[in-house]
Amino acid sequence: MVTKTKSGYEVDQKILDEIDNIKLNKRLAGLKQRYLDDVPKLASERGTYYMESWKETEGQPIQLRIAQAVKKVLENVPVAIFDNELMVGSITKFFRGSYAIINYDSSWVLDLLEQSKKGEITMGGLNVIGKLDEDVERELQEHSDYFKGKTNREIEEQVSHAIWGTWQDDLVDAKGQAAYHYAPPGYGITNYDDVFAKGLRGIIEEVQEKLDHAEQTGIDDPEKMWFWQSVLLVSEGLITFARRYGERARELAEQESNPSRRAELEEMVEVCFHIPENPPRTFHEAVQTASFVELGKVLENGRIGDYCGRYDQCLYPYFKRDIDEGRITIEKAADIIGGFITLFGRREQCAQVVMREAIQTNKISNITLGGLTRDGGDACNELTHLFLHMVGLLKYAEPHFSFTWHEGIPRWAMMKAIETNKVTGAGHPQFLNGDSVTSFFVKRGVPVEDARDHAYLGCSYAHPKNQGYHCKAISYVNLPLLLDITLHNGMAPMTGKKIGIETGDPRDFKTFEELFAALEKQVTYQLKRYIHRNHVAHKTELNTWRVPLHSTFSTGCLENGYDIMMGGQFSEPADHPVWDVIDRGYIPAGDSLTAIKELVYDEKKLTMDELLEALDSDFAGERGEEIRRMCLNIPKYGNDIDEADYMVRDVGKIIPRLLESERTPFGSKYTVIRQGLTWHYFGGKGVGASPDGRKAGKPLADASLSPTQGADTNGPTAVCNSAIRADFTDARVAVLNQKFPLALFKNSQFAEKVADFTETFMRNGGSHIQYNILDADTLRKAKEHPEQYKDLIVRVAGYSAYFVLLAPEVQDEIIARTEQTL
Amino acid sequence: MTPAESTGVIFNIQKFSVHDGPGIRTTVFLKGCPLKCQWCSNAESMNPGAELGILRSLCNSCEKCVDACPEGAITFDTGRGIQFDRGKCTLCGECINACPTDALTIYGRLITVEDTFNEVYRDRSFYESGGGGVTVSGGEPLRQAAFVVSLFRKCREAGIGTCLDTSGYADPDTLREVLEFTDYVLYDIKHMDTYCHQSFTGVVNDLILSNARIVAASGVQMLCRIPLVAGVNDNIENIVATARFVKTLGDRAAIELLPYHRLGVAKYQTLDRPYPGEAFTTPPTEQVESVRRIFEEHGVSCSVGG
Repeated sequence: MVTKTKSGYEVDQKILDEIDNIKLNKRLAGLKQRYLDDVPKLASERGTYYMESWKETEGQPIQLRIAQAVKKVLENVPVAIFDNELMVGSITKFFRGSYAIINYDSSWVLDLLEQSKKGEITMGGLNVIGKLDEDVERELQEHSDYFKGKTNREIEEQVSHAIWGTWQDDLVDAKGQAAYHYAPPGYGITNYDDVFAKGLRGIIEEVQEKLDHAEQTGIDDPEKMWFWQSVLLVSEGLITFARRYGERARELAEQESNPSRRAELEEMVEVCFHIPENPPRTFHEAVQTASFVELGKVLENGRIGDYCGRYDQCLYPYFKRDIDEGRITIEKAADIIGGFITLFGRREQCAQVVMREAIQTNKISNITLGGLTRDGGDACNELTHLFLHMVGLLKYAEPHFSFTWHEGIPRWAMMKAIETNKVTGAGHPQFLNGDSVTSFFVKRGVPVEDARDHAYLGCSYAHPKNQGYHCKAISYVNLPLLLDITLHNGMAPMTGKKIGIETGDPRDFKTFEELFAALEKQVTYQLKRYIHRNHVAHKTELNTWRVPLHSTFSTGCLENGYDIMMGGQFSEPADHPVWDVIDRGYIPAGDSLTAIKELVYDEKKLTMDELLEALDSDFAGERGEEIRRMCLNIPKYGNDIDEADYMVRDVGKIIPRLLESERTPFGSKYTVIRQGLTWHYFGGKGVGASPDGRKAGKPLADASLSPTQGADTNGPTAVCNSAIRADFTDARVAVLNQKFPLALFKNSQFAEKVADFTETFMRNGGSHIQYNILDADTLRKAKEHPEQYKDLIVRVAGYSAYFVLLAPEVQDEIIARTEQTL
Repeated sequence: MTPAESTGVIFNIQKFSVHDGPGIRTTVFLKGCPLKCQWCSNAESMNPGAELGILRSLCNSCEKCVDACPEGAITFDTGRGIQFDRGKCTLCGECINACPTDALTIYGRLITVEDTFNEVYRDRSFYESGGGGVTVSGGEPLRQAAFVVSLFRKCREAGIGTCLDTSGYADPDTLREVLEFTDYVLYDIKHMDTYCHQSFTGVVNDLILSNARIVAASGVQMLCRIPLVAGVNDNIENIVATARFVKTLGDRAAIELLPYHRLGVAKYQTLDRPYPGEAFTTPPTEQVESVRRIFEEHGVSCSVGG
């Protein structure tokens, strides 16, 4: 337990009450309606300018090539200010737009075109149909032709083939890995300290000094020189980008006849010419700075999301000062925050096909609220409340919000967070355990202040103090698949290909321990290979990929003189968690092992041969059905039954134990992440009929701590008790999804009880919990009449999406998931 | 401990109960009830002993249970499906093991106080923040008062709050004994008119009303609950009479309205019993609200639960 040294902010109850009374204004409601009515579109300008720059810089160091390309993009992509917008910054000229990141993967968009009708393209989730104009399609084709053979994904593939032949392709086919690499690497939580304190001009001057100093005294590594030069380039680029918004606002102001709108536009001119070059003077300017910085990050690497950190902390001084000095009203602050959220909401993602199959997503931008102050006090303040309130009013699927719980979180903040869950319908915000995350990092050598000051990356994994993050993620080790391979002596039964080592015919195993040892051997072999391949891939990608703009906004990089991709964020890399392994499926793997242990070894109701025969026939015939029933009747994880939960724990410990002896290229230890997303659907396709009674190819349990669909029959407290017993404390996060029917909230005390429930789970050591608040009938209706349910959002394992946009199979599964009868 | 103190017949232990007492609770449903309320949603709670139930929607007419039954208590009728001779059934459970679709179940099991307590104890951490704990419900838990006393005593020793959900139809001394170990009482008041009470529940209400005063006098916190059934007890006379009565129970006495629902219908079917509440309807929200207001106007704090 982390000791708290200080109480947090003094919160003004009057302001909280005032916030609670704020309604959605006309501006924000209008933008939301436009979002709902608009069709997302793919644009090509980013690729065009990127390609132009790439042609000009051939032969230069990669750090400088990337920086020049990003600068050119920022200087040239269209700027767009839409009717009535107060906060500005648009990824494309379209209201809902996206780019394909062809410089990461030349086939990014070609795969999509093959699957789409003329003039259409799928965005985000596979059934979001976007528009693709003819000229855009032509240009995308041109970019693909130019980058063919040059991009990171292709080079990684070639290297992998050269070393391991078809091993990795076979593994991907068997769903043993999500894809070669599904998203551009190099990202992180934004550090706003420098840009708020000095502005980009101040950063530029300091970096220039470092360069001048290096000129005079010499430098140990030319990479540092290139890195600092790259920072100058992208910083100038971002200043220009903001000024172009200023110019556009000026044009619009000159044409504007409505005096109040003209005044807004004139203020915008003032703001965009001042920041991010100079430190923000007002709350409005601080939020606009954040908007440009996050947009710059997306334009740089095309990453699936922006990991923005703790806006209720870094923006709070500006909010407080403006309110105290009467510069803005709460209503205006709400307008600003609402506009800011809208910018994220309308930013689209056009991910590659491989990525969508594995995690099926639109963007995942993550904003962290609540939590601890650096000195251990409570960090909830009026701005926390305002963010939560606006999330509830706007009901966008993105960005998603993470609410950091800690012992001593004020009740008003908890209740507002639960209330926001109720009004959004699902999952905003998710709850994360700030105390256990802090301990996790402290145990791994992070100074306690930085550990407390963590925020969330991706869908839900914590990272300390505004740092960049680069991980050649070992994408989704599929434990049920590895068990399946173990049961088939090295062969993946769904593909019929041998992708593992021979660990012996399980029919010969005399004891359960022999089987478990064989599984460990298989996991060890696979993990070693995954890690080896990642280290190779890391070397490869350093030749094609850098993130100077991200690095400019990462703690540590500017001082150390290295890009995030080079580990620039770490002064002492040893003992600092930086690379992760994502392992998934320990619930079905554990339940399957429990079934084998009981049926074959303890009670001897079946021979291994009988069981394997039933599995290989997908439980066919009367005997198969009978065996399936026996399997289903074995105690399952999620019911607060010791034996089932301990088996999951034992399976869950295998990879963390193996990782103890592994080191990343930066010398640090590996950690595991157990996040959500819709991987369970993808992962299940590769796994044959399993001893937990699941049929071949069906989805696995969702999230990472959620029980197998329909297996939990003892209610949510039992699920939580199982989750604690399974002990995932050595993971950076472990995700638990919980669905409550909305009808429950009719009872006025229910929200209080959900708050108690959440706090108890966290106090017991739970890492993450997220609520779907809905009823099955609503979902069925939404599936039938998507047009009437544009607004309905649902939580799927760690991220949210509009329910109607999910694949029908995922929709069905959500409907089927046990609605806890209460 | 005598057998009655150490074991009880229950039909369910429900975790995360949020409607039966303060905070998050575990509800132990005890089997057997002296009342026969026509709106009862727990058909399986009425009989004191265990009994076999069948979910006919799951039955695939494979007749495996017919073959499995050692007593010959199960037959198959082409028109009506599986039929039980409940007199012959010994509840051996062979049919349940044989059923491939999980259509058969036994309602009711004998359980020790120890095992019940252990089940309740598993959720102890969830009781802490909102003043939760264990609730005994039913059926009528006071029919198994010795079991309840032993369970409550153990819970109290472990710092777990105790709540009694009762019809109030019990021997006053038994009630007093249980109250000693009770932190909170949910007390059903179904009808103020004793003839109406008898015709809808099978018993007159004098004992229930006098026992209510015992609970009130004991100082244990009490919430009176009214299963609000349209056309049965929602008329103005009864509401006013109820309000007056509850007022006499002290300043802290409050009312919770539980609007009638039909979620229990399927349970009767599993027991091959006709649903006695066919004629009842769920009172419309406005009606519930107007009843609530009448209570408030009479100075009794009233909420709507369910």
